[in-house]
Amino acid sequence: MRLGSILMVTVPSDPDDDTISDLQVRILSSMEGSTALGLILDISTVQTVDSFFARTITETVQMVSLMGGITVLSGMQAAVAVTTTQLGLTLGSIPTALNVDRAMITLQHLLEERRLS
Amino acid sequence: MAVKGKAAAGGAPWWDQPTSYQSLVDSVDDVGILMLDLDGTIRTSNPGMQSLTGRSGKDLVGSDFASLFPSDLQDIGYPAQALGQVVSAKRFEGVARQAHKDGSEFWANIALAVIVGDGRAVLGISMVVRDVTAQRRADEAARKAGAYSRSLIEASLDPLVTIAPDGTITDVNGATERVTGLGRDVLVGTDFSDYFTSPSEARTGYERVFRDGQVVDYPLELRHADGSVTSVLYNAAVYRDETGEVIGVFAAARDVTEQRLAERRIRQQSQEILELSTPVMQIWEGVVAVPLIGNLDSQRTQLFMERLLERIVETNSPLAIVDIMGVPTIDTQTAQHLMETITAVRLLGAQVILTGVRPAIAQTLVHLGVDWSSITTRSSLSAGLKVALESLELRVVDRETGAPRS
Repeated sequence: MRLGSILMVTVPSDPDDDTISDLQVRILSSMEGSTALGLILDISTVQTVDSFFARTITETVQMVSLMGGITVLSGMQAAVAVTTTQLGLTLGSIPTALNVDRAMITLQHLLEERRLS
Repeated sequence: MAVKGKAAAGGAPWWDQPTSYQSLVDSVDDVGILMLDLDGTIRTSNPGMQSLTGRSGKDLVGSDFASLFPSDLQDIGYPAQALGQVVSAKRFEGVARQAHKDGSEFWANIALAVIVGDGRAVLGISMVVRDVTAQRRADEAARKAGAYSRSLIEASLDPLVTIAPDGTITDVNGATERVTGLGRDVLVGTDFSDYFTSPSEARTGYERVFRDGQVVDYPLELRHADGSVTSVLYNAAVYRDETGEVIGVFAAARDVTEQRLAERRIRQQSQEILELSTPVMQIWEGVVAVPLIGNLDSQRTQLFMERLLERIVETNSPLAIVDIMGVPTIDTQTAQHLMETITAVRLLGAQVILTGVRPAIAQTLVHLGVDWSSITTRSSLSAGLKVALESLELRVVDRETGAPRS
């Protein structure tokens, strides 16, 4: 879903490896085919996280960054955050937000900062 | 070389002579052999009877056979009954006390039978008296020993049970009846494992006894007929017959319900204390605070992390102040746990402000070599709150003048 210069993607609740890879491709092509500068990855419905998921997400964020976009990860569940940490997956330094509203605000801040610099 | 009996002068062999019978009777000195008239008068006696009663042959012969019995048996008419029975049924056998001349008594097996003459006429009565006092004493001792063992088994407050190799109950004591609420007659012959909440575990238990010879502190739960459950620890071992053959399992249970309850209570209380020790409070819209008091072990960290994350999501707070003023010491482990919590909070989309870092703690943290550069830390809770408010773009102002206060 596109909102102005922001692309919003909701990750399905129980994604398998293929779905995630497919999602990565679609996100990148959407970034290419539009003027989108920001990406909000909403993972609020995701129940479980494995290393493949974490890696793909991190890679996608880096790829989007290479294409000139900024990504905010939004709405991770508490239980998911606990397991992710215990698995030692820190997801690098991706900006995060409690929910989509806050993700939107954070993203606008980040876009603003970049324009100023 | 065969020994042949010599025939006596009269033509009859020696063993058919009346004197031979007499000497046979006379040679028996430990069994009394008597002949009585049908009215009970003693007509002959032998040395056996004389040594048993201490009375001479002269004294015995001619007296009433009732005098062989102690007076209390005479009073209840025992000799007369015996006599009546032998006359009517031709035989009598019984075990009764007999009187010795010196006033003592002995137990004897008494056999009476009629003596039949030519033409099937009843001539008199034969009486054979065998001393069975020693045997009776042995029986009595064995019975007492049995009763003693039994009373010990019954006196046990622990449920005891014996089990046959096929798993059926062969014997139980009173405590087993009480703990199951079922009588001995119901329990014996039924399957041992039927009386436990987990029959398969009970079966595994006694099979292990037959395999290994014993089990110690095997935990099971006994089911009472009314549905209540008793936690027990079983000690069981095989027992053997004289030849060493295993004939069953002897199992003793110890009631540990009270201990189990106490353990459960302690666990529950420590859980409650754990929860009490990590209150997560919302102190401003968008700010939660949690004071950590005491040492952080991994179990507590886990709980603390879960509660903090839950509250952050619940209250939709992008800022969490973690105050470690109450943490006495920090080691690598604790620092690791704190880092994990901070990372998890960041993944949620919130930020941790670490406050209450005392000088000693600050020194330790630096020495431990943990990289804290990415984390906002402040020395006091109020300083932390100020950071939180600033990042929410809020300010505390003087009500009168509207000037900002620090």
